[in-house]
Amino acid sequence: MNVESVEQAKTTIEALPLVTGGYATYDFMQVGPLAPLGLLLQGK
Amino acid sequence: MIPIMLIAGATKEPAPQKKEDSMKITLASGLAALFIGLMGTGCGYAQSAPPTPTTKILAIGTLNAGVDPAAARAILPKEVRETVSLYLDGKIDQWYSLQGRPGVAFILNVTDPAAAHEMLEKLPLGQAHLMSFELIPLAPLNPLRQLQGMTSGSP
Repeated sequence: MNVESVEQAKTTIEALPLVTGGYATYDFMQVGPLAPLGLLLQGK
Repeated sequence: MIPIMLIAGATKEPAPQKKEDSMKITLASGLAALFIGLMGTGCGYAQSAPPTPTTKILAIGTLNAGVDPAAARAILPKEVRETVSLYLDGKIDQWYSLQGRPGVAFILNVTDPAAAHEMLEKLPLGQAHLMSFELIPLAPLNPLRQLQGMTSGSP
């Protein structure tokens, strides 16, 4: 998901029928750009 | 805008009164199952639905317990180069860092978990027994078969 925050993601997903019905749960894993790639930049 | 990776799993029993418990920001765990798995076990339609093939593998890499972060940092430049090499070989489709803790999340263009395991274990941090990957095979979203017109005999 491309969202502003984990809370925004949760709000969106919590509205889905399988979640409100108690049939499904979601794990939320916040990720970002692969930081170690910065090592490839000159001077790092 | 932050990217968030979602993994859905089925609850054993409906628990509509415990919504706050049903949503957790957690690391991927053994409790997590794919949405496809949910539909495969919880709905009658899925019993006759054609299977979907594994098309990608989600690989979540974290430092092993007790690992000295400095030891990992010393290997990191080589790890980065070999990871880029895997990307250039077309083996890595998407790559992310986990937020708030050391680790990565890759979506691999690999369909065999054993092959993915072997490939990732060859990376320097794996060779040094500093990082381990959890592998989650992914498939096309099977519940999309529920869309009108997708079933045989539909107009």
